[in-house]
Amino acid sequence: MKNTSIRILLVLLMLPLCSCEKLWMGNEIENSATETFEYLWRQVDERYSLFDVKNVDWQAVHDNLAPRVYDGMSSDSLFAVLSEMLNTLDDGHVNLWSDNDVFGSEAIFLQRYGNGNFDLNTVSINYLTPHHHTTGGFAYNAIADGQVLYIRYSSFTNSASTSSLEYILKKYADVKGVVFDIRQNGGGVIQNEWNIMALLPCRGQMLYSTQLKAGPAHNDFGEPVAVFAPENKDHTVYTKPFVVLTDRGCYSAASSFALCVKTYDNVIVMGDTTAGGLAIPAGGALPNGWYYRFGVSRTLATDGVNYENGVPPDQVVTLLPEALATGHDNIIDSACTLILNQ
Amino acid sequence: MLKNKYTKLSTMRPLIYCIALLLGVLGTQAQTGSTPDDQDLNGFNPHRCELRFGGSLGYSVFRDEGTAPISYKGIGIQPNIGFNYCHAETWQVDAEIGTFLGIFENAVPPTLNFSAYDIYNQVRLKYLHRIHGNAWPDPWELQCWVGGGLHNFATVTINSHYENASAGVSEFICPALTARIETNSKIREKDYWTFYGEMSLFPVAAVFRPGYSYIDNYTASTNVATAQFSDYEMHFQPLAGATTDLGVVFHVGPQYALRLSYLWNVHSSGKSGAWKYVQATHLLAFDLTLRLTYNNKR
Repeated sequence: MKNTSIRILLVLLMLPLCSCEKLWMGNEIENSATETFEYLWRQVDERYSLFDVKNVDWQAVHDNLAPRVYDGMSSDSLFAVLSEMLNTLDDGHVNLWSDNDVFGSEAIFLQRYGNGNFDLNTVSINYLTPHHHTTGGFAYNAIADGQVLYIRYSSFTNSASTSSLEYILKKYADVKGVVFDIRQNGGGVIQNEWNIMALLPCRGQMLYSTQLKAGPAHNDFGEPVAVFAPENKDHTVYTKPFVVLTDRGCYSAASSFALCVKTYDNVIVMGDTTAGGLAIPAGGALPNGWYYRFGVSRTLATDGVNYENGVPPDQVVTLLPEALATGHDNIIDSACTLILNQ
Repeated sequence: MLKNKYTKLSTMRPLIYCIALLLGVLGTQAQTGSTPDDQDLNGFNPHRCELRFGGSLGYSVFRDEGTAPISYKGIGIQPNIGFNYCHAETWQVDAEIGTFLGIFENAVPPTLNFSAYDIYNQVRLKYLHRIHGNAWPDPWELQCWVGGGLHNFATVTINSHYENASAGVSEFICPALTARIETNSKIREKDYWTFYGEMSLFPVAAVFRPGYSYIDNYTASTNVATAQFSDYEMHFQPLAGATTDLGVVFHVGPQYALRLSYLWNVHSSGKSGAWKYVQATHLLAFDLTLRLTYNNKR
């Protein structure tokens, strides 16, 4: 019995070693207002990819806001300060989520709803009309006496399969061209861009190049990756005029789509500059459990320019109140004129 | 550049697996190559080869500061397979591979409860030499072993909730110093018990952090995961971790054994900020041991 006890005791002597776990695990960053503020500021400083186009003095933002942060402040107050900090970036891909609130860029909100080039009622009543069809995420109707196909694609979160669009284009094979309206499209699934572009005539052209942030300095980027137009496989390519309508409500995938289709020979982008948002957002957690996201890449167009703040159209056309007053969307009308004159 | 660095990573792990396999084959060779001359006059077979199959269930906590500065706690399972060759109860080699799969949750209250996932793989190779043991004819044994080996710990932590699933990758390649105490009861009987405790310390480890967090660069039109911070950094970290194994083995006849054990391991990459990765795991393990050959006096 004595021997057994000694033997078990010897084995159990190893148990206290497990209590040394703290030695390896160390301490977490303190869950305090000041640590949370500093952590988020530092994350943006080291990982955000768009300081060059946002023209923000990030150190000055820190120095301006840091005195307002103190340990013990309410979570609502901390959220307000962090939101104010992030709002200086004017970036729709910058968000902060707390237990009770979500921050989004005020500038992007105002661009979308204050400077929109789109009137949903006019488009719905006079262009789509009650007789329109819907296939997947596309609502469409023949306009201009049946000579132009109008397709409304309101969000890249809506389904946009190549086969759906191909069905629509074949159904209206006799029209002289397509008006593809993505105004007020806030983005979504980027794969839908490729599904749509799969029906446009690829000539192997480069669409853009993309780079990920690759280090803590503001200009530390990885190797650029060139992205090329998707090849047309097993689909009928649409070679007639294809006019894409954009406005300041186009963001993220919608901006990216506008940037890409400009490289196609039969595509004209018409309307207003998009709101931008070409960077990939990536997120993370804060020491207090909230989480955030911001852009960590940059997209350079074929001309080498970063159109993060907005992709300009090929033809600028502004929605006129006098046209709206008569039930007309003069941007759609201009697109129809362009198609019919070709 | 990054790709080449990955190539380095991918070539090191197979090398370790190959060494494990080689040790296993050597052990088997030692057995299959035995002749009657290897048996002593009493019929004692000095070769004992074992295969272990088992599974563990347990609790783990990790903090990968490359993806999030907060800890995640969770549960997981870990299947294991191991091989042991023991020569005349004087020295032994052991190889073991285990893969842990765990589901975790943000541990900061009040919580936005988000899940995280962790997969790690451990490969352990060790040689142990017996430094103390009372003789076989005794009705019970107390054996002390010391030795060491090589330990490989490779893990991927995934915070899928954060937009663009962030994954942190860490790998530890370390020499291990191991001490083991075991006591066997009534070894001359058909069925007997073994109580044991074993601990390994990693005096220094080569820790690899091939990027802090991974971004699926979907704007590149393909699902290419690219390291956001593309530094394939290696860092020598003193006292990078430890493992402990405490258990009891019930020997069912000479050919089989059942093992119930408590496993603990902890790893820390050292350094600070986004580079830092720490994980501790507590597991309750159950193994079935199949003896390919055995000491026929036991």
